[in-house]
Amino acid sequence: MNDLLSIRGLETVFDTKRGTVKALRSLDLDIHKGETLALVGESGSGKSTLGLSIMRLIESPGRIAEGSIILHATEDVDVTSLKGGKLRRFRWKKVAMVFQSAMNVLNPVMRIEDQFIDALEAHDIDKSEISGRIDHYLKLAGLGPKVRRLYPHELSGGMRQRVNIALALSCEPDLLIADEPTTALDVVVQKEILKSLNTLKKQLGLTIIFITHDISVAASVADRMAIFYAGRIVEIGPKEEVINRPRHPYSKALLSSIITLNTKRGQDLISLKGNPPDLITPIEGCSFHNRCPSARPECLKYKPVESLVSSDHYVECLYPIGE
Amino acid sequence: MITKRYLITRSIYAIATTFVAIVINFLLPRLTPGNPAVTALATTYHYLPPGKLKLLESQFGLTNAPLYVQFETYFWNLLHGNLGFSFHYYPETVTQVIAQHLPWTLFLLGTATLISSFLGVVIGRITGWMSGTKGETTLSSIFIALTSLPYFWFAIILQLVLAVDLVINGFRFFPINGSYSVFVTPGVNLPFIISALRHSLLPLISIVVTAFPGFALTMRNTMVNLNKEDYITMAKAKGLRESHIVKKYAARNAVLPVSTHIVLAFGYIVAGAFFVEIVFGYQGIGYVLYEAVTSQDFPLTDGIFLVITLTVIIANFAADLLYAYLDPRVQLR
Repeated sequence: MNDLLSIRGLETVFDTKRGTVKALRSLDLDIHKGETLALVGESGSGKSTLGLSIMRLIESPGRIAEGSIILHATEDVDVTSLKGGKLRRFRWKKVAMVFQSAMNVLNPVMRIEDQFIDALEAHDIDKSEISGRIDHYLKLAGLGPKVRRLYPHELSGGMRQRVNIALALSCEPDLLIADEPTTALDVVVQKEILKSLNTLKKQLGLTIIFITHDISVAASVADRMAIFYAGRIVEIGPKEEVINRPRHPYSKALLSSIITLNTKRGQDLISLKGNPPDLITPIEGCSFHNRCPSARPECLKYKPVESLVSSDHYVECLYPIGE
Repeated sequence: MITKRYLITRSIYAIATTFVAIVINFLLPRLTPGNPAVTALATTYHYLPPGKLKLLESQFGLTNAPLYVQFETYFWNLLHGNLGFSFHYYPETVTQVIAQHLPWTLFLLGTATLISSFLGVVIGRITGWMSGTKGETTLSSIFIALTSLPYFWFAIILQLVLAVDLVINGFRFFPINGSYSVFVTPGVNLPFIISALRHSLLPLISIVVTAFPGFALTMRNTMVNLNKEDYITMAKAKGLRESHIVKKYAARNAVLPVSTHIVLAFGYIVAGAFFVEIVFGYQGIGYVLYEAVTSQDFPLTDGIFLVITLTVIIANFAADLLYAYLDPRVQLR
């Protein structure tokens, strides 16, 4: 048993006037203890919805319609069935989150230390321990104890995101969900934050779900990578495998859309035509067939199933690349 | 967080505004045509007795000296609390008249502002949190109706229904007008205090009921918008208790725009209080102003205008301090 979280058949939907949008379509995913799993995909592919679903932060008009999220702690708990005090104690203590909007997630009228204290107190951390913990985790995130007495507006964006990381770690969660934690920051700060996250992960043996739309960021932090498309994982596997030998046409397109130092002159950057499918109407066949460069007539008719292509590398395609 | 620097700059602003208000208050009556001494004499004499005119002019402080000399005298007198004689209440001075009536108004205004701000914030917090429910939409619609009522009209209705008509077994629950019963002696004694409180009830209710729903609506709307803020989501993610999130995250931030609203509304509350005083014959400044205007008592109207201006300036100064205390970001602006 070395999985921390098992997601089975998860369907998170949003009820709109036009109909029910299926943001996650019967999603299965296992998260191994101690790994960093990067969820990569374009906007609207469902990767953030998954993060929020695990935290149970999906609010009306959204809801988790089906499926289970099992957390393997001392005993197995289905997160989707948690309510009231149990849900409250699950959040932050078991799974904590670093949000994308570093600038806006801190309460503007509370000192930094008070935003630690209320979280720690809500999870019944011993009063005598609180102050030491705040200093400890601020230091781990690369901040001095001076920050404690400051207000959020007195910190830069990078410092605020460090505070958020320290805050997320302060209750010593089993799982950390980082939802685009560096997207709102400039490249230099982005690199520093990623470095701290990597170090922290090694030091604390954290399990991290790292949500990003930026493959190069994912490549620098992840152990495994999951490619999201239209509410499903179309490919998942070890980072090197997915990057070097992508088997799904969508992964390949996504990977070749970025320019690296190794990109040769004259080499074509693939740009995908069309849009992801409308998630209100049921999808027939493969969700990617209308944009797929190598689609065949069967792709329109049959739903692809997940198949193992190499060790721990799964792909959901009728005709994976290289076969 | 109130720093010394913030306190000093705000004080300088307040003092400068006060000075400008004093200058305007000095200039305006002097720009109007006519001679108050002549007007006063004309009511008793068919001609102008030169000696009496000179006497009255000197008593009123009317000279043909240059404006800056007049201003110097005016300002010097003002510093000593000397605003001249009231015509209507002669031989009482303006300062005496104001000093007698101001406490009544301050009591009415202060209590009304405090109660309506408190009610607005507390009720708005509740309706904001339960927004979208049937109870909340009904309540908010009632609030919109209440804020649209003019103070004085509502005061008249209250007076008619609760004071004039509501008599059970010969017992009248609310006095119809005045600020205390003629059967008690003013001073620090229980019967007087009870009587004064009883008389102030209806005026207070008329101001509070028409003022607080506006604050409650602002509070509610802000709370609803704040629910979409990332720090509220973050607070939920942190596993905080809902009551803690409402208090320290949602309401605490919603109070900022509401306090601005209350400060802006203060001027209206002052005006409203004056009308209400007139309706109820409540012997505050508003009632005196009404008498001063109808009897063309210029020194008294001038004095009252000055007092009103000062009250609003002081209230704004207090609001600045309160705002800096409530929002740590304020001083950086």
